[in-house]
Amino acid sequence: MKQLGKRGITMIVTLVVVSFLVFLAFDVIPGDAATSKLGTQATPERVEALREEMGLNRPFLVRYGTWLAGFVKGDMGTSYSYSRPVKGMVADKVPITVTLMVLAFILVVAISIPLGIYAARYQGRFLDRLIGVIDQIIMAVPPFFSGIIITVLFGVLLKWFTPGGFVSYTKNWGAFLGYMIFPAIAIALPKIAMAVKLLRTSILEEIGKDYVRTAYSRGNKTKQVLYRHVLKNALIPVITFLGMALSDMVAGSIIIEQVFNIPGLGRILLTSISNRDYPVVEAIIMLIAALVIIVNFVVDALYRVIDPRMRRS
Amino acid sequence: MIKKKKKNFNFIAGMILVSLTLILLLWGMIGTPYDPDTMDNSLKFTGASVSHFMGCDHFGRDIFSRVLKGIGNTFTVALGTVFIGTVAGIILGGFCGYFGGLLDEVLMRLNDAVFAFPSIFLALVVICLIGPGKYNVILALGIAFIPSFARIVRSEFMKEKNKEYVQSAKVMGAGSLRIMFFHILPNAFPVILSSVMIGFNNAVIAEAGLSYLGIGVQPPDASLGAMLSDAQTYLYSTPYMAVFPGAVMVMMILGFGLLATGMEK
Repeated sequence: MKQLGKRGITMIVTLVVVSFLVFLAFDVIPGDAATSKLGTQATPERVEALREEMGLNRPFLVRYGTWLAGFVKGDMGTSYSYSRPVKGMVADKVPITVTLMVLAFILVVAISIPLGIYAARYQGRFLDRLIGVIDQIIMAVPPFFSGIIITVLFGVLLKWFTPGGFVSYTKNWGAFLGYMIFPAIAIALPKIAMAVKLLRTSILEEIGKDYVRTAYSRGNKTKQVLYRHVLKNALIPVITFLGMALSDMVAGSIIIEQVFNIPGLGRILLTSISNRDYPVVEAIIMLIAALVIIVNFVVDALYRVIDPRMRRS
Repeated sequence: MIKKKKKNFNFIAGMILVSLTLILLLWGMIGTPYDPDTMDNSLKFTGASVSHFMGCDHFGRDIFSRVLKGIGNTFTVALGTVFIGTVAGIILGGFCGYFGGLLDEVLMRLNDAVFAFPSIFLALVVICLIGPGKYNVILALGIAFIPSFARIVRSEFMKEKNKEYVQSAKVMGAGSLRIMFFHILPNAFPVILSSVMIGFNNAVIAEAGLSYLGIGVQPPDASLGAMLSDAQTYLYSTPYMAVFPGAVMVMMILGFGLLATGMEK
């Protein structure tokens, strides 16, 4: 528990460091928010007035403090291009991206763990080799290309969904999930391939160890040894990988949302980048950063549950 | 348990695919069959034929020529990225690993914070700051790749610095810099090389992704990612537009991936 508390503090410190870096990065870039808002035609007096109003004339640290304090309270600032609170623009997009993540993650876990166990158990047989070859190929396909392939296959040829026909979750949950499953597959595919390969190697490594022989000698059946003893140890590196994969998939979703025409966080991030709408960009970066850091923390906590050795050291 | 003494299939297959990619790259550098940027309205959406064996795109440009040029651009970006990442990673990781201490502690904490982010996301942030374009993408991806390289180099340096050959070099009066770059670095080379190959692949995927989003290589300059993005508009009528750029990209990534796996054994 004490360890976990320590990790929690590290997590908060990391978040603050990231927030400072993000704020600093967007502060040093040339181009004044007031000038860009008013256009180049504006008189210097008007720009100055707006700078004062937007609080751009205050010292850096004060602005950072205000921004951070607002963020903690849920106030993410105001968008430059739409003059609307960022919170309102972002809030209804979060469930979309999070659903995509969750669906993809469920797919990865549900498919890769049985496949990995199977491949390791029947090592060297035809199906194991086939899985190995397909794995290698899938790993080489970037998610947005598999997204295009899925669109052609399931959308254009089989007509299982309408490409570009996104339905919002506010209207129809079923149709929303039915559409989201396809981009989720596109994001999950390369991660499934990697997880299968990792789990297979990890199980094969564990099977060679002494405790497995001991378990057999006590009269356990193969299944019991595999599920009660080997898997517990073999899953540890896979959990590390899944944690990293989850944060990687957040980034992948930015691109996949474009492929499937989904109005999620990725879409709004990209438009804000091209509009140089920094408050929105900052807010989304901080949201994703928080997500990534919290996922890492959970993975770390999960370790301690699974592996008692971690609790002691 | 794991069978040894098997023919290194991965390595051979990887070699073949990489050579094929390199041949296409050279071909594109020497000269493409048609000018990749010339538009011809009469050739719009024409399928594969003898003269244009991958067909033509929505502007009537020869897809094969554009693929060749796209490979060139992808290579430039990926090599540039890996170069920045490796050089900065070796310097940062080397100093941190060799000297340790407070500097190491601070830099690695920072590194951990940055490392937590997926590289393509970091690249997006950097691009937001410096603007899109081919050379900016190299810089953005390069910066995004530094933490992972620095981490690998650091752990290698930490492992190597306590070995006997380093001790004896010290006794002989070699300076820290000399030990770091002439003694330790060559020994860390195999590990660095394999991470460079994996980094190269990640750079190819990241570049294609950014170009797909329209913030990488700028049109009319050809890029595999941007070609896929164009092709997507016409998926119903002309799906072949997506097939070739995509297939070439997969071939390239698969080739380097297999080669890296093959070399590990």
